[in-house]
Amino acid sequence: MTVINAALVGSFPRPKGLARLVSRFNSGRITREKLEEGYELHTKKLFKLLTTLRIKYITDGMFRWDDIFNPLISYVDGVKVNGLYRFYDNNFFFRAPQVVGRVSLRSDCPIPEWFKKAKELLNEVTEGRSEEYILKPVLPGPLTLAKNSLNEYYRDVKDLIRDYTFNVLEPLMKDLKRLGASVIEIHEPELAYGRASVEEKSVGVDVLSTLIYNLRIRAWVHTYFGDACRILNYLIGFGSYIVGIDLTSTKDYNACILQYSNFKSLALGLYDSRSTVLERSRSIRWCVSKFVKLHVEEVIICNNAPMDFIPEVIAVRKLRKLSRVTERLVVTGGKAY
Amino acid sequence: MNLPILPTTVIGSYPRPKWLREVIKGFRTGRYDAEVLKEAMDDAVIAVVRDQEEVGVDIPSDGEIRRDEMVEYFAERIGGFKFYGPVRVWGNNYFRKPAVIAKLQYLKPIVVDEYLFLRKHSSRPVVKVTITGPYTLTDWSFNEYYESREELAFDLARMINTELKKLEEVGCLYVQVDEPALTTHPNEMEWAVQAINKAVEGINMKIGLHVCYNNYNILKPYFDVLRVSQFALEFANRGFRDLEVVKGLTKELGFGVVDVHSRRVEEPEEVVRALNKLFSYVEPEYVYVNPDCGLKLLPRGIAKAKLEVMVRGVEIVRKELSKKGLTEIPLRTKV
Repeated sequence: MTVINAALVGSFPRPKGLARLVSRFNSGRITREKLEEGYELHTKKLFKLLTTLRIKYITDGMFRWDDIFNPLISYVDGVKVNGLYRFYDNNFFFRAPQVVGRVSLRSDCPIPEWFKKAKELLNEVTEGRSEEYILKPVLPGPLTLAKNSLNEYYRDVKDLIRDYTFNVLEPLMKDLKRLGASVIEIHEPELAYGRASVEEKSVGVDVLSTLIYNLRIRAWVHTYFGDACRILNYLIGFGSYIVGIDLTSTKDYNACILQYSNFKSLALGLYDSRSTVLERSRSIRWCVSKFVKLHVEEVIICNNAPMDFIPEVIAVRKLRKLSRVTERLVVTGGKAY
Repeated sequence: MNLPILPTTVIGSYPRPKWLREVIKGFRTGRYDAEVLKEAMDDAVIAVVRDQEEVGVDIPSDGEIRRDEMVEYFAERIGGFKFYGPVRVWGNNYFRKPAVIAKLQYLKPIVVDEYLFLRKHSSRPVVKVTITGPYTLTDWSFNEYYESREELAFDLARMINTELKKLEEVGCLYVQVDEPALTTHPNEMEWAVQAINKAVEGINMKIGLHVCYNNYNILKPYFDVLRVSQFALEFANRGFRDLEVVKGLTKELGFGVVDVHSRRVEEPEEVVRALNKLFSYVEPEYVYVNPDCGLKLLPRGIAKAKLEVMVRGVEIVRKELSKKGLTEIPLRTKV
């Protein structure tokens, strides 16, 4: 029997109040402590929302992140933080990693500590409740990191992919695992978007699956901004983990459904993080029911991509719908009616 | 009409004076009425035009002082848009991304009064007015109404065309259409370019096109197709890499020489080096000089200092060019 769960993937829009605090901190008008209080308050608020909606797999909203690369790249030796570049085909920009030397994670990277804090906050929010919630730290995948870097050091970008994997992500993921991360969410939009060469994608998949295997962690490899039908070959390598696909960018659901019959856990990105139009619950239920028929162990209903691209009010509406649809599907055993 | 060689200009926006921000805050909380706000806006425009002219900018703008944001401003003045809330663009910077929820309607002139006020208060013979282009308005809005983004873009193009005609009627000489989203979806380039051409159809004043933080290799094949006389492009942010892309450009280039996302004030020599590098690809007679993009996110003092550096750098290069007899260029409406 297929288990059906709900999830928040990646970021949740940074609330206005928190953005104001960040801005005041950046201009020296409030202390680090005041800003920390703001992070705690808003993270707890998000956890309250997510747990009220019984969304099982959650993130801390990535409120401390500017994008999926920053601030991680500020803690990588061999990398300078460069100018603004567009994040795929979005009106959203990130400060690009400029690779000027061999990359390796610095020891002062605060991301594991942030995860620990977020976990404590989640424990406070869920104290006395019986349901289990899984807090996922979120990291960029090595292929996505490498292909969004300005590489001025490595002769071959494939070496950069390898070094990002084993010199940056590996120590970070080890730390996260040590601090209790049971699932780590790794974003690889590059796999689906289709700029990288076949060879680069293959190397990206190989090294990431080796890393995940070596670390013995439950990984969630999430792809987006591209048709899920086109990337099956690459995702097979992650077949025993959780694989996230962007169904809002997928043209032919039926073809896609057949292709994914051998996967263990599928995260279906059905709620479009780039549109204010609210998805029809009936269509979502229909689609999920088709995947349930494949007898995969777990089907997870989620947003397709980070939620930075929509206003907070719309993100909340989408999560409410996502939650209701999941609950209904759980009751019907995955049937669409 | 002639301009000095390498005319210096701005891309459009300029930081709002602190006191104006206080008045806006006061207006939003009900402390000041619309009349006070308007007076403060007018005064602020005069102040920022003065800033630009003081440092020697040849073609100033009104700093887009009245606009909170380049898409919001137009969406608030065209019927059919709705705002749900702010959306992040980068770092901790947000804009109120509008949603199209009904058939769009041109209600009344949007920037004509801005132009008339600027014209009255600038001492320069040419001033610049900026208008957000139809593709960027489309791409930076959520579409809940139109069957396709293309249909939405062409409706917007018709409205912008109406606005441009009104600007021309009142004597405007130079408009820059801002299309920072232009190459975002390469598969939409064909109709995006046609939408821009539709927006400028039948217009005889000078039209520049500003495209920033884009992959210019996607834009390049359309340089000749786009019915504009100038491309204003960002190059400082990318360390003046990618200059190859403007080789063979048959139109004018608005060359971005200072980075608007860095608070470091460049040196005039950096501007000189960048211009000399550019001249291997584009003739000086076809170059305007500007910052990479709007300056509004910088503190006002830094914005002004960057403009000053830009002008000082240009003055050094002009001296060299004058030795070759190059001192002026015509204000071209067609190239």
